[in-house]
Amino acid sequence: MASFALGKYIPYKTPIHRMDPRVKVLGMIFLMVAVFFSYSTFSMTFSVMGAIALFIIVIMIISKTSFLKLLRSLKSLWFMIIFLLIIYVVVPKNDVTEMHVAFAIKGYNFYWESFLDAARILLRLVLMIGLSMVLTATTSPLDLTYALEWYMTPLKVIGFPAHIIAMTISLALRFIPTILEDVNRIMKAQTSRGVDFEHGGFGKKIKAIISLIIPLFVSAFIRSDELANAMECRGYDPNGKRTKYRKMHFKWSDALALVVVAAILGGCIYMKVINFDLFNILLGEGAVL
Amino acid sequence: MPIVFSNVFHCYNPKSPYSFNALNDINMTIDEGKFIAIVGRTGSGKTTLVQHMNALLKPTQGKVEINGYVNSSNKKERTKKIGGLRQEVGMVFQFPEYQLFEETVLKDVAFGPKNFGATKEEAEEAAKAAMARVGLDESFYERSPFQLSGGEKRKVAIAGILAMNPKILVVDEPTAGLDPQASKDTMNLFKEILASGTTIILVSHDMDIVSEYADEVIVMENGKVAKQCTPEELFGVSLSEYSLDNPHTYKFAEELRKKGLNIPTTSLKNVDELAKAIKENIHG
Repeated sequence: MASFALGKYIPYKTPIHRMDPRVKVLGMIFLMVAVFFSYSTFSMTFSVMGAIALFIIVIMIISKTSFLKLLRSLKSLWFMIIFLLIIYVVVPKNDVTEMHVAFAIKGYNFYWESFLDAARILLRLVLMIGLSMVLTATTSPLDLTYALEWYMTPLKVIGFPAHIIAMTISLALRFIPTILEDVNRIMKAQTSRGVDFEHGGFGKKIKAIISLIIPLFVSAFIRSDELANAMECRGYDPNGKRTKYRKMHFKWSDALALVVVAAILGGCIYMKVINFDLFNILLGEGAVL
Repeated sequence: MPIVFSNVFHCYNPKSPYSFNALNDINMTIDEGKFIAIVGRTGSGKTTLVQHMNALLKPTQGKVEINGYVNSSNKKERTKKIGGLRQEVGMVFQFPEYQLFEETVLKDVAFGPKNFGATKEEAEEAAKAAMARVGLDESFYERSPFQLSGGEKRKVAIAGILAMNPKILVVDEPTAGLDPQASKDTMNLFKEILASGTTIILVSHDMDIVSEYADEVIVMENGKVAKQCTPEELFGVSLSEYSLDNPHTYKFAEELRKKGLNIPTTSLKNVDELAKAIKENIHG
């Protein structure tokens, strides 16, 4: 089960772990938006993204999020990455006024800009995965749902069932490890009966998967039934008002973190809006990079 | 062929905060043709231990040798096609009824032999024989395994392993959740299987069962083998340090001894033997 690196909570005790989950969720959204901007020139775009990347790397080091796991989750996306690269390189964008030909094969031009575009997309992808990894690795699923519920609370005014949605999410999250355990157990039981989940042709693989899926469904239904009964027995009422066992605390450090992240986003928006070009200012008007 | 553990370590989730050493330097030999009970508190490493016997788990360090197969942490030492080992060491899991999936009982029981290369006819033959052994008659062949009662499901699951004709049968808490009669039937089934020359390895908490059926007991404690001895040698010593309790027959005999009855305590395997001992003491 080692391949489920993305989205697994790892209980270290770092400042990032101790942060208010609400701040973490909002901070991640801010940083993701910042990652998505592109600026007047490629050199500007890459410098700003590089700076954000540095910031994210620092966060990853502080929160003890493993870089190896980030690389591993990229490995499972290799097909999408290759596909993106090919599309970007083969189909050049027309909206860039100046295109520089890198090389040509049989009269078909390949442009430097296309490669840069592809690199930008790739970098964005890596940063986004890194960010979401930091969030899920440092925030327990329960805290995450509390944060989501808190953000959904204002919608209660228009009759949005914030609590029910949050409960559904937290139940779903709560059952991920349980179901993975079931998968593990059933796989072992069927392996003992001679099923080979790793080798064998297509037909054998299908048969192997069926021997896993059917018992898994059966036990998932039994579990959900039992859970529903247990909740009923303890008087669960989806519309009831309830207090929380664990309160979320907004600390000064959280405020500071929020200010830093908001400043990054603000800076990015400002640079985007005024078409800021640092290199143009440094190297003088009209300098070409 | 005996099962030999040499310096076996097993660590779950190594190099992470969840890292847990389930087995710490296991060295032992399990002889052929015996009824072996593995006991110990929850989390002492019993299940992890038995899962090394058919290569479901690979040791983090050390090796296990079974019938010429080597399950080793060292890639060079490890038998290449270790899957064959699983036919020789049949493993019945705790709550095995959750592994059933075919449309009919017969098909499900025949699933194992078919995976190990038997033809459809051979597999069905083996399945019918195995079902007869566990006491499921022909009326069960075409029924859906999902319509059976809990006890019947468990019988089907056990038959599914027996159909592979294993030389060693590992059973993990086979009587958990069964009514007294069903658990007695199940244990007698294992006794019969033992008589046919199959080694039985039983993981259990129930000391009454251990005292009645086991030839040898392995006590696990914190991922180590704390004791390997006969049941008689085990009972009477302070079992509570392993979170274990003496069997009822032992406790009953002990009370009688305190009242002045001169009867043996540790060698009594079940209630019948206890009754006999009391009778002999009174009349003799």
